[in-house]
Amino acid sequence: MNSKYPFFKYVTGESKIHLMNSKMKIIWFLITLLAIILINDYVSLLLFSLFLTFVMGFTKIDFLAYLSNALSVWVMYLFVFVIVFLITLNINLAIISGIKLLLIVTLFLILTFTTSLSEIAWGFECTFIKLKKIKVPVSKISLRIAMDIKFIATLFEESKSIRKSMAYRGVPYKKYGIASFKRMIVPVISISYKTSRRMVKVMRLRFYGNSKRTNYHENKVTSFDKWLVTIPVLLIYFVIWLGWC
Amino acid sequence: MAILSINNLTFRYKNKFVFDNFNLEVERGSWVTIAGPNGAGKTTLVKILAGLEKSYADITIFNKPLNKKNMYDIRREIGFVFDNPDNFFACETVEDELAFSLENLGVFPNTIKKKIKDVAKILKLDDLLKENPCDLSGGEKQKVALATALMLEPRILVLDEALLMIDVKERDEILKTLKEYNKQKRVTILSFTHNLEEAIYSDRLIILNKGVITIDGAFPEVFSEERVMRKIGLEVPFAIELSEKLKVYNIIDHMELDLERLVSLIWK
Repeated sequence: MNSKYPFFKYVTGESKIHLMNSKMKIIWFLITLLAIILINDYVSLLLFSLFLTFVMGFTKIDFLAYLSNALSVWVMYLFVFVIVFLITLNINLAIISGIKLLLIVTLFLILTFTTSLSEIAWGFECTFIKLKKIKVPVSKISLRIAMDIKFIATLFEESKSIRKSMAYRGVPYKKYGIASFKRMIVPVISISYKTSRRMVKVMRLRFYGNSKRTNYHENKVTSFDKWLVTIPVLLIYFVIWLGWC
Repeated sequence: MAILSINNLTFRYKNKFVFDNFNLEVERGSWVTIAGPNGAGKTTLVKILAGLEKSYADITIFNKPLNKKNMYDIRREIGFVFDNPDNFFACETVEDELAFSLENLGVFPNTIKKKIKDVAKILKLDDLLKENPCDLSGGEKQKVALATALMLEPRILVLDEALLMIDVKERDEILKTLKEYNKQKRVTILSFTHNLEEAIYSDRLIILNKGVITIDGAFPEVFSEERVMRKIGLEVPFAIELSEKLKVYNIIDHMELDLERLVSLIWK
């Protein structure tokens, strides 16, 4: 993990991706996520990898920050690779699944590095606002999603501080390993539980959930936003066309 | 007229009574400091007022009973500043943090922008607006938490050890600013602390010990009960202690709370 750019933590900036309209950014995120989940060949993976690299360039955040954070969870990719291989016995599918997970993590990194918690919540709320008509608690769900994303960052930070405090007490500092994991799991679960309860209280105290909510950072939809949303759609068309050919 | 009244408050924590039949009334526009050692019940009382702890009591704020129905209306006129600001940050930049409550209340972005500018100027936060509040120093975090409360333009400002991590010079400046705020806007300030030096601008000082009001009086006359304060583990401010002794020797004729003014009095 990169200490300057912690996992899933917002990095302040004025890049085009930072200044995107919240709703457009969430739509872009969801379309790209769906596309990555659906693709199943190396050419499509390459296309979407190039697309995400192109977007990363626009964020003006150090490329190494993405790389080190994405690779810090290599165990997950390996796990997915092994599981898919054991189930299907298809090495190609296992590799594709591992790479897909890497792309999904990168996509989440782009979103969380460039979007604050409140903007993520607001973006989801604006995207699914129509569901309010059929009594879906959109505000609560949006906040829940934003909290969960932020929560991953908290978990990583907490586990890091627990490892450090154990090292201060003389427990051998091992970055990875079952013994280290076993020692950390109880405090991490306990802290996570407390953090989630605290966050709910904070939101209640700060009036979250009001239907008349406004957005301080309401950025206008620019042609860049429209293009960014259009590109993954065009890529999907292209991938489908390739499949037919 | 009382803006806040607590009657017959009973609160238990793990079968131990924190408050048993506790009563308190706070006048509108006053600055009341509730001081006490650790375990006196200060933070519990703040949490009860914020509706974060359930209790058996008859609590009235702005002439409305504090219950589930009125909670939202009451809360939007009270600014809470807690001892550990880290626990209450919800956003990733100071600017967003200041805007967050007002966004939720449906205030227009232009009005929020103006308020952020004003509050940031008062608390000297202009240079920190783009920073992540979690990455700031302890004192800066508390200033951000205070600014967040001031953004709401509250009728009551509740400070729970809110100036604990701020250095002495800056703390005094903030206290002076709060006093002006208290006078000009008639904001009621309810300050919970274990540091009696934070009480120098208070109109009334209440000493709380194990959930019971031990001393309650106007400031600074209340310091005549210095011994009781020491007994429960509270440190009497140096200026007060020195003033008391100088009065005994007729060097000064009144209590002086401000150390600088006290020095100039002795110098004369």
